Amino acid sequence: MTDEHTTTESFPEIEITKEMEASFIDYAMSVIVSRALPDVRDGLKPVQRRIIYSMFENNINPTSAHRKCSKVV
Amino acid sequence: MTATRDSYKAKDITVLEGLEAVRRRPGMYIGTTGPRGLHHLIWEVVDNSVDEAMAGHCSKIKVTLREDGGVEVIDDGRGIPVDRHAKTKKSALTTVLTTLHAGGKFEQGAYSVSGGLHGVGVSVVNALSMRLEAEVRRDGYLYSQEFKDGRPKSKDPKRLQAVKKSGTTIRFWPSTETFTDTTEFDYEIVASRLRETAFLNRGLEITLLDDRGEEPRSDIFHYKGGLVDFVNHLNANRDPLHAHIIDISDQSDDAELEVALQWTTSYTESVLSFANNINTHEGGTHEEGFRKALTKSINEFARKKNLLKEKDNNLTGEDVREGLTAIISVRVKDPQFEGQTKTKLGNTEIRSYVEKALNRLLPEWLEKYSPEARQIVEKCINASKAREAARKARELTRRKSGLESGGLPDKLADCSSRDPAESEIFIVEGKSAAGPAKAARNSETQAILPIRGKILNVEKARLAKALQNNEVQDIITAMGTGIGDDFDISKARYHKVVLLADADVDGAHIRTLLMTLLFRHMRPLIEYGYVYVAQPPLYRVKVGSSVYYLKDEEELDEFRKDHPKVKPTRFKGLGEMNAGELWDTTMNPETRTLLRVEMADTVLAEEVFQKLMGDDVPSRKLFIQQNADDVRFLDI
Repeated sequence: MTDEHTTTESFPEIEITKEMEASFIDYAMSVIVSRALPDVRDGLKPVQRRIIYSMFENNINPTSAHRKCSKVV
Repeated sequence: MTATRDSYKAKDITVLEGLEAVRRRPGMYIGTTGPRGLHHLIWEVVDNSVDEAMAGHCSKIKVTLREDGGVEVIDDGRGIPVDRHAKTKKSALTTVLTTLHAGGKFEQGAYSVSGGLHGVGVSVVNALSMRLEAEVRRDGYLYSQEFKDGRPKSKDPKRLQAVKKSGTTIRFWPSTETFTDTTEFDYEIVASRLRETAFLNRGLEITLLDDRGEEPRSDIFHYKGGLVDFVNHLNANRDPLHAHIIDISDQSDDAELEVALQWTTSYTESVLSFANNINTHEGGTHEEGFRKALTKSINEFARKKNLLKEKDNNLTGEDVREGLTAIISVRVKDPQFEGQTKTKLGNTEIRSYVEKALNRLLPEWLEKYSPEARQIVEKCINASKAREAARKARELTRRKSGLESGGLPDKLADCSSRDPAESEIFIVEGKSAAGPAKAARNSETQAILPIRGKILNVEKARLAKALQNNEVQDIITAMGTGIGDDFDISKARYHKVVLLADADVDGAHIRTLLMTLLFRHMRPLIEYGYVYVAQPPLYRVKVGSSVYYLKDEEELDEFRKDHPKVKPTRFKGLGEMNAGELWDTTMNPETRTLLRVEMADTVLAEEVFQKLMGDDVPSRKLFIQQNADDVRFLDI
């Protein structure tokens, strides 16, 4: 069903359901493992922990001067 | 080849040429030599058995995927005749297996209806198998004949022991010369198709057995409810809007009609049509008749019950079909198939037959189940309101901008060629990747369309809402084909739609979203093989002065065996590559690998999209739990 007159390139086929399932499981598992679930130790999601940590590194704490959040991000 | 030909008698040469033609250009007979074509071999053999079932002579079919890579199909039909055929002077069995366009379905008599779509039959399977064994149980004896590369090993079938029951057994081993990609059959694809066949042939029992794995798998498909069971199966992951499935059947002298339909609370339309058990992807006259009758019946009912007021506009076909799951199955004596993939029913008399029958029977149902019918109409009216609102909103934004060009999206960097056959469009994730892609491309044939972030999941959104989404709009206008009912493949501006997302998990997600859009609203693009997945590399490694690109972990592991000390750089996104790298690895037709997206079975695809992208969370959760181990890479 290919266009014979375009190129002589050959195209391995991939079944749509396989591609969907494979791509989906990659995404879903990654989200579950490293994005969506809070850690039981501190109750933070990885993104939140990254922010808190970088604030800590930059010496931003309740006693320090006021900072805008864009500084942190 | 000439040397072997000499050993044949003159009259055999045409036969050999027939099968030779199949071997030389398999695509003409089975579509592709990839997985889809490979599975076609099974369908071809099973369809023969199903034809026996339709004629009322067969009630059980057993399909076995053998450990040695072959397939066995057993039925309890009448058995292919083995007596001498008057024209070819050979046994009928040999004729059927070695001659194109041979079979009992061309003259009426032996079969009144059959799935004679292919018309080339089991001989094609023989031609494309390195080995084929046929066993026939007929007239009290077992006959057997073997073939190698399409040629019979013995002139006639051998008569073996006496047997009581009749039937046919075909065993074949696909030729590795033809099917160079793979000769491995996929259990899910085979199961889905056989299930479908069992739904369409009420009462027929089909057993599927897989002997290949460590633990044998098997399924028995046997449905007493026929199409009603089919609709139930399709709606398993959706919420039905009403309890009773509409079940209508009708017969005339030349045709039979069966329809089952049910609306769900989802927004997607799943109408599947079949003619003589063949899934007519491209629709055709039976589907047209169905649509017309459905729209008319619903509108009339709505008017009669005053659900639509006098001043209201009629509901459109799209309004009526929102959330509809329907199966239309017709049996036609002399089916004519049209369209590029020969899956569009062309018999014009069927349109009016289906329309008339449904115009009579649908209103009867609606009256009988009036409360449910009201729910259906209310849903349709909601759809209509949403569509109307979306249209107004769209017009408003257009008028605001003051320059409605009707032209191509601003973001599209089009190619200069006007020949769709050589044009390609790369749908690229994000602006950062679009930069190098634009710089790298061959601007004559390659167009770039950047999309921002993640596009809308159209599986969960109403069409009207999907159309309001800018990214969705851009993709549709760039393709030029329109969508849904207005889709016109001949207007496609590109014959290659290449999905080019980052090699990370968000890229994978974007790919699934894009494919959902294409599957739901521009499905012919997939059916015509216009959709491709690009494979950008994941790693770059430098060894001395030379640079290598590796597309996944597997290649990296392989590479490390030879170069244990290398330090690979991981590409986090396409944006990190420079134009030259992107061109060399993913875009240059000389060096890239594009994967063509194939759809072996619409019903299976339908289920997968519903499961992965739809509203039903439990089934998705189950899928993730069951498949968590198959994850290719985790992004941590």
